Order: sequence, then C-alpha cells, then structure tokens
Amino acid sequence: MEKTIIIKPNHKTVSVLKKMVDLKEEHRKEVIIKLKKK
Amino acid sequence: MYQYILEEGRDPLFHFTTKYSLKYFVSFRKMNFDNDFFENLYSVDFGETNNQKFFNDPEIEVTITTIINDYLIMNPNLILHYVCDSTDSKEDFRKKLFDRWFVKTQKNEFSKVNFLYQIPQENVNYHLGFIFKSDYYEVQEVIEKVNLQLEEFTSLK
Repeated sequence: MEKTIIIKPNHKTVSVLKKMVDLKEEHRKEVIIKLKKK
Repeated sequence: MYQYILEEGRDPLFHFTTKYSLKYFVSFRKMNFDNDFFENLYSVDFGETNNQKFFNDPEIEVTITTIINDYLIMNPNLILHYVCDSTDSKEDFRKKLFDRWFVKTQKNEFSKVNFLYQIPQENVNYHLGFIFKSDYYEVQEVIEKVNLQLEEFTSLK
C-alpha cells in the first residue's frame, strides 16, 4: 500500500524539516570521509 | 548487480565500486527519538562518494535497491525513512529510485508513505518518505505517529 499526504507546513515544521535535511547532509559527509580513508 | 561490502555496526554501511570506478554507498543510520514506536527507525541514504554525476549504468540502481530490499527483509521490524528537499539536485533521482523500487517489490509486502511538504513562497518542496513491512506496521498508525512526532519536534523549538 502506498499513500501520499500533501501538507502546507507552518514555519515551525519547515524549521524541523530543514534541520532533518541538515542532519542527513552531516551524516553523508561523515560517511564519505570514512570511505575516502579506505 | 555489483558486488558490495557491508560494514556492520550500529549504523550499517554498504558500499560498492562500479565498472566506471565510481564509489557508491548506502547508509542506514539509527534514529534516536525518545519514542517507542520509532525504536527501529533508520534513516537511509545513498550516493556517490565524489558527488560524480550518475552514469547511465542500470546496475547502480539494481544494486542500491537490492541492498535496501534485502536489509528490510532481514530486519522486518525496521521503518526506513528518507528526507530530501528540492534544492538538492539529486532529489529526483533519489525519490524516483525509491518509487521505482517500491513498484517492483512484491505486492503488499511493503508499504510506503510519502509526506510532501509544499512551500510555494520559497519554491521548495520537502519529501519525507517511510518504507516498512506491511505485516509489521499499519499505514495509518505510521502516519499518525509521524505527525505526532513532528508536532513534538516543533513544540521543542
């Protein structure tokens, strides 16, 4: 089953989403640094 | 499909090298919320280590989707999630890869919930996707728990 929900977020939710994207990018950088050391 | 290497641990990391010498990774990161429902929530991400452009190499997609698929089957209690925004030039590739993977999977084995947050004034969309085994979690429950968790996060700010 697949479901898509479309949301018009308020500014607080946007801040949380931005933080989630930033954390993902930080983790990605850590992974890449780890792999480049190999 | 390419042969891949798994580095086990709290945050499992898979990686492989293509015939064009591009190095790809698929990472799973355990999320730490004080929330029992999301005890087995993992953020999944993938990409090329030198941010190289994606060659027209279908084996990349096959390998990435096989890794994700097999990991979910071996760990049926997991909820995988991914987040991307439309300022990321590879957003389409990632989202479409998840979409194609889901279409190819056995009917009803997995469920997928997509949250699309539209911010027209900033011309940005955020995609928040959740994938999980259908016999382990109810779609509606996941939707409710995600909304509650996000509300909790916003109240902390």
